[in-house]
Amino acid sequence: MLPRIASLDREFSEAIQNYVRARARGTQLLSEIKAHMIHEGRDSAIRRSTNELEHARIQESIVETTMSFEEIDDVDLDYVIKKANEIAAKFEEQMSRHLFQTMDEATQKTGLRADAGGKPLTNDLLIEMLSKMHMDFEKSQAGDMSIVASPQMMPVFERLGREMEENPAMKRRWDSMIEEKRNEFREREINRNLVG
Amino acid sequence: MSSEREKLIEIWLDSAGERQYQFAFRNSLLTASYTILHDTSHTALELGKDVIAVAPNGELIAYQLKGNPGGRITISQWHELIPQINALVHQPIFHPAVKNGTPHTPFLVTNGEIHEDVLAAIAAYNSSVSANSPKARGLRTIARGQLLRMFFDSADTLWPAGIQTQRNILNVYAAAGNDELPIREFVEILSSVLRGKYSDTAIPAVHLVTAILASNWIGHENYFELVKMYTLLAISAACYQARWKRQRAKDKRFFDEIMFDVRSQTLSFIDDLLNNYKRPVFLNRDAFNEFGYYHPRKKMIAGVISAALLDRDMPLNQQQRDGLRDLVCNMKHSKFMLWEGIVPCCLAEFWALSNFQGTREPDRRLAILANDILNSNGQENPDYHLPGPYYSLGDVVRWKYKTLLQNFRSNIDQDDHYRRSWFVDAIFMVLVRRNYKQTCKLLWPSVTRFTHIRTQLPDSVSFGPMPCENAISEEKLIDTRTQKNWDDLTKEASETATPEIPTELLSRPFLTLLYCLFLPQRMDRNVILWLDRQFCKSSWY
Repeated sequence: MLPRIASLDREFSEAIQNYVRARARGTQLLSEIKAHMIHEGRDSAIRRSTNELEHARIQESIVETTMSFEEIDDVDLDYVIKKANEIAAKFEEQMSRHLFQTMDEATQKTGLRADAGGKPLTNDLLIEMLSKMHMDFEKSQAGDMSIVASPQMMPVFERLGREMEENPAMKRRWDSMIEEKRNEFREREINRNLVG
Repeated sequence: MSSEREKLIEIWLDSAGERQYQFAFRNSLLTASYTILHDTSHTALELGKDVIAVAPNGELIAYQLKGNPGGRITISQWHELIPQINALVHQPIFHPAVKNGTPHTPFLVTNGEIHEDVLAAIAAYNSSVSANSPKARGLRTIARGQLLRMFFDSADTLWPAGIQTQRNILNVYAAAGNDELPIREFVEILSSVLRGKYSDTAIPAVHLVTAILASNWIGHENYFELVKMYTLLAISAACYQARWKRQRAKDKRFFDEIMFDVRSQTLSFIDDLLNNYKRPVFLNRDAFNEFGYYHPRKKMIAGVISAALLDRDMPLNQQQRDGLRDLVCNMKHSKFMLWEGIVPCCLAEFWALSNFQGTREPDRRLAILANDILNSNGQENPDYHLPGPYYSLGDVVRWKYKTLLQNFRSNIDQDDHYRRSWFVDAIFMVLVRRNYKQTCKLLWPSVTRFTHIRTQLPDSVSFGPMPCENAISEEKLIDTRTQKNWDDLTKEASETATPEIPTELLSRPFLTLLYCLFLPQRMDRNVILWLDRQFCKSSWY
């Protein structure tokens, strides 16, 4: 065995793992999702009532990276960070894919989905989609929600915004939908009060 | 037999009192095929004999045990012992398993040496016995050397053999006794002996190993860790017994011996507290070093002494009882809520106060506790969050003072606790049981916003301290599609909660509570509601 400083190995290993973990969750979408540890056992489940226990599927993420012997001979912090960034990017991709897959399965199961069938996105479709959603108003008066879309969709959303402002009937429909969601939220909040 | 093992046993025996080595002595008799008829380690009835046994050749033997760790019986001690020796030698044995009038051989056992003067005095004593009482037999002795041989022989059968276990034993033994117990290694030792097929030597084996490992902490009078150590041992033994359908009488007696140690270490902790910390300042040495955990430590102390007060079998005298009551009632607490792992201590204090205070103060403290959890973990800023019970006090203090300690590698930073709680649901139900309708109405909206977490164990055997691979991390959401009313909650609170714990523990709420002080993650909603019924029979619902 070559001379080894095991405690230092462990400290670097921990530091790099923390770096990769933080960076992999660094995108706007993933960073908004709270992470929790499972301290014991390998499974988790959500209990919605005494008899209803829904087991959650835990997805393992594995990422590989390769290093050539020539590269290793020049190893330094910059090289390690570069490799760690590569690994983090792959983890981020896997976690995002898993997230959308889970959402896809959940919306398929519950029917809470709108498929435009390849047609362009319109305000009508947007209103139809959002009207199916569970929406809270704790953090924003406009509704606590995130819209995830590709960067190319940005001009489309800008256009839809302009159309909304220029079309009073559409604006009324939008406001009415939001008001309905706000009422649902208020009702849920009222249900949190204990009666009797 | 390894010389390290012999050395460990020798060091332990040289620091053990008579009660501490009595169980090992009895085990060594069992290993040598003796039948034990009577053992005073778990009864106040002594009859001048600590252990009565029948040898394989049918000879009836009575033993009187004395503790002279690292020393010897001197002639003045011998003179003090004579009344007990007379009872040992002359008082006949009355026992259902022994025919009246059967003669017995009396033995004086010590873990020290016997001074030559004393040996001469014993010879003279025996001459007078044979002259005056022809039916009585002369006194014989077992001193340190013979006792060690007996323990070495029985350790050949009892001592765990695995290399990893041996390594853990040495690591724990080498740990500083003035520090925390290396809990992971200790639990691994217990688990390595108690896994696999049934063996009637398993429980005495872990008891012997624990007694030897405990000597380090005994040397530093670190009784808090000793209570922890024996409590973990007791729960592990209870879980081991729960794995087998038939409860063996022998195992029950082994368990009682462990309970004797749990109580005796708890009493030592209480004595230390009452005698050495008369001013209400609980510092070991230095406020600069200990400020980070000063306040939660006070609450932990309150938790252990509350558990002791709740134990009906704890042999406390009136002075100790009064001293503890004063401490629990008058100890001022603040800034202790660093993490949810402290909640079992708060609950122990609550149950104790509820039993001997006629005011609403304990209920008020409980409502504040629920409110504090909801407020802290209801904030988005993680700096205000209370980490869960799986983190130790050390982990939490390192995380809280990370800037001062320059330690930025805490797992707590990766584990979000926003609107999550392990205990608030159960505390709320305890308040419902006491009919605090208005308080509950105030708390309920926040309670419904929280995710209530617990570790669901697959069976009662898994209640032990070893992490369970088949456990499920359960996250409970409260359904708010329909509005709940007070009657729904009182009905829920009045239902009998059955905790997933070994049967043996159902009759030992004190032990279960004590265990949960050290392993708070095992105190789930059902355990809390069950303990509440055990300690407070007169709640409203």
